[in-house]
Amino acid sequence: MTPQGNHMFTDNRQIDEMVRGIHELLSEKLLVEVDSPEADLLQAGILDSLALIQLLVHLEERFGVKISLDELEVEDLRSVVSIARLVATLKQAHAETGAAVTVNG
Amino acid sequence: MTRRLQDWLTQGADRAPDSTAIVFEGQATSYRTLDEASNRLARALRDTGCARGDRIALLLPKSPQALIGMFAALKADCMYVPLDTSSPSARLGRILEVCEPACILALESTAAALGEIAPSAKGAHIVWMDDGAPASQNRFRHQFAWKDVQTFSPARIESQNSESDPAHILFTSGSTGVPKGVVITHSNVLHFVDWAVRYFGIRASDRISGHPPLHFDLSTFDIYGTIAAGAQIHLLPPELSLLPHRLAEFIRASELTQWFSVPSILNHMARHDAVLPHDFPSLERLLWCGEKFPTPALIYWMERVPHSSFTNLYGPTEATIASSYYRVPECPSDETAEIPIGEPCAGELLLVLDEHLRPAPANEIGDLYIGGVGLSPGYWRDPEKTRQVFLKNPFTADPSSRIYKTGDLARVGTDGLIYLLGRSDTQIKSRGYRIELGEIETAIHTIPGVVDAAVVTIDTGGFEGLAICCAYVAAPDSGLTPIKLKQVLSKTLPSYMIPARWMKLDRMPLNGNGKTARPLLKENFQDEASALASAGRHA
Repeated sequence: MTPQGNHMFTDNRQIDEMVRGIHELLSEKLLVEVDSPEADLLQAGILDSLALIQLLVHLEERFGVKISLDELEVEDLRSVVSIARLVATLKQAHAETGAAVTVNG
Repeated sequence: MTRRLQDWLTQGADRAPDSTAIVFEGQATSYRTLDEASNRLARALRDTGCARGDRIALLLPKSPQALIGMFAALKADCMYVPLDTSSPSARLGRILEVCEPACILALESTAAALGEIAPSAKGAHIVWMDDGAPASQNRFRHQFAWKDVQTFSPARIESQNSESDPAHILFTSGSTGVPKGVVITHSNVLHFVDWAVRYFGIRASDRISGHPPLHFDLSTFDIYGTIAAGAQIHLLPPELSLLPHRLAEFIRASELTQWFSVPSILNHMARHDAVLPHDFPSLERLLWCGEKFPTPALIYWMERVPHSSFTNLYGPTEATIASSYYRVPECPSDETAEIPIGEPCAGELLLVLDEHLRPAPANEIGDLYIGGVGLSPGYWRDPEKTRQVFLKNPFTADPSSRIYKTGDLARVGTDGLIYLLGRSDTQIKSRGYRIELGEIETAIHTIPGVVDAAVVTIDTGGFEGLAICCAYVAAPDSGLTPIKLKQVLSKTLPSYMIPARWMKLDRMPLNGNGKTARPLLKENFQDEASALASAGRHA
C-alpha cells in the first residue's frame, strides 16, 4: 500500500501528533535521533532489520495498531512522516470496522 | 596469454551483444552497452590524465553506472575503490586520504557526500555518471559530465595491465581506527571465478542475485561470475533487505537461479516465514558466506526449496571472495548439526596450525591459515600490517609462497573437512559485516566527555548475529547520553558499526589484572537482551 493514497482519511493534526509520538519513540526506545520528519531513515541505514522489529513492537504498544511485517512496503518506512501516515491509516481503518486490522486488512 | 577481468566483458559483448548483462529497477543493460559505455569512460579517464596503477574511487550506489565505472577503471589500467555511500564522510575521507584517487565517479544523488569528502581528495577529477553536474557542485575545477564522456569513442581500448596487476582495493575495518585497504589482483579474482563457474556450472541462461553492497567482496563473485558466464545479474535495492517478504518476492519475480547473501538475510527470511513450500521454482543454488548460518534456518530453507543446492562458502577478503566450500549433501536431521566450511577451492590451501606453525592433529583447535591463488599481495601502502599476517609458507622452499593468518580458529575433522570455531582476536561479524571492535572503541574514546568505554558483543540468538554493546563512563556534567553518543558516532562510523545497546556506568568494572572485566559486561548486556527478545517475538 502507499500511505500517500490514504492520507485523505486523516487530518493533519492527527498526523502531527503521530509524528511527534514516533519521534519520541525512536529516540527513547531505539536511541535514534532523527533530524527531521522527512529525513530518509533507510538511506542512512538508521533502520536496520532488528530496529524495525523493535519499532513495530513499540508502535503497537503506543498506538494500538498491529502492523505485520509481510504487508509492509519499503516506502512505508522511508521517513517518520511515512510511518505516521501508515499508523494513521491503520487507526482509521480500525475505527471504521471496530475490529483489529492490519495493513490492507 | 595475459588475461584480465575486463576480457570477460568484451568476449560477452562479441558473443551476444544484445543479451542482458544487468537488470536494475526494471531496466536492462546489455553486454554491448556495458562494454561500449566502459570503453568511452576508460578513454575519458585516460584523457583526464589517469595512468596505469591510478585509483578510481566509486562514490556510487549499487547501480549499472557503478559496474560501468568498474570496467572502465580496469580498461584504463587503473584500480577501482568502491566506497560505501551510506558511510559517514569522515570515514570515507580517511579512505580517500590513504588511496589518493586520481578520479572520483559520482552521481547527482551522491553529490552532497562528494562535497563533504572533497577536501580529502584534492586534485582528483570528478566524473558525473549522470546527464549533467548539478550547478551546486561547480566548485570542482576538473569535472566531466556523462554527456562529455559520450563524446569519446566506444571502440575497444588497449590495456597494458597483466594478470598480476591490482584490479581493486576493498577497505575493511581496522583495529586501530583506520580502515585497511586489501589489494586484489586480476589473477586473484580470475582464479576464484574460473573455479566457481566450473564447479557451479554457471551458464548464459543464469539469473544471478546482486545482493551484497559493492564494497563487500562477495559482490565481486556476483559481478564477475555473471559476466564470465554471459549471464544476467539482478541488482537488489539495499532497502529491500529490511523486508523479508519483499526479498522473497524479488527472487520469485526475477526468476533467479542463484542467490548469494550473508546468512543473516537468510535467517531473517526464515524467522519471518517468508518462503513458501516449493518456493522459487527457478532457484538452482543458494550460497552463503561471511558468517555462520544457523542450522535451524538452514533446515527451514532446505525443506522449503528442496530443488536447490545449498553451499557454504568461506573466506576473508584477504584471500578473495572465498577459499573453501561445502555443499550440504542433504537436509540435516538435527538442529544442532555442525556445518563445516569444507574443503579448499581449486588452487587454494587451508591449514590448521598450532602456535609453532605445525599442522594441528585431527579435531584439535588451531589457527586457520590460507595460502594459494586467492592471496592478496597485501594491504595498501601498509607493509607493516602486511608483514604481520602474510607469512612465508613454512612448508615450501619457494620464498614467494605465502600463507595468511586469518585470525579464525578451526579444526580439521576426522572426515577431512574443516570446521570453524571462532576468533582468536576481537574481530567480529555482524550481519555479515566484518568489524574490528577496536575501531569502534577508538572512535568512542575520541568523543569529548567519555572517560572510559568498552565494546563487547552478545549473541542475539542467531537472528542478527552478534549485537554490539557499549558500556561507558562519562565525565560529570558532560551530559552524554546514548542518543548523543550515537549521534556523534554516526559522523565517524558506518551504521552497522554503531553499538545497538548501551550502558552508562559510574566506573568500569575491572578484573584482577586491572583490565576491563569484559565477561561481566557481556553478562549484563545478555540479561537485558533476554527481556528484549521476548518482547520481539510477538512482532
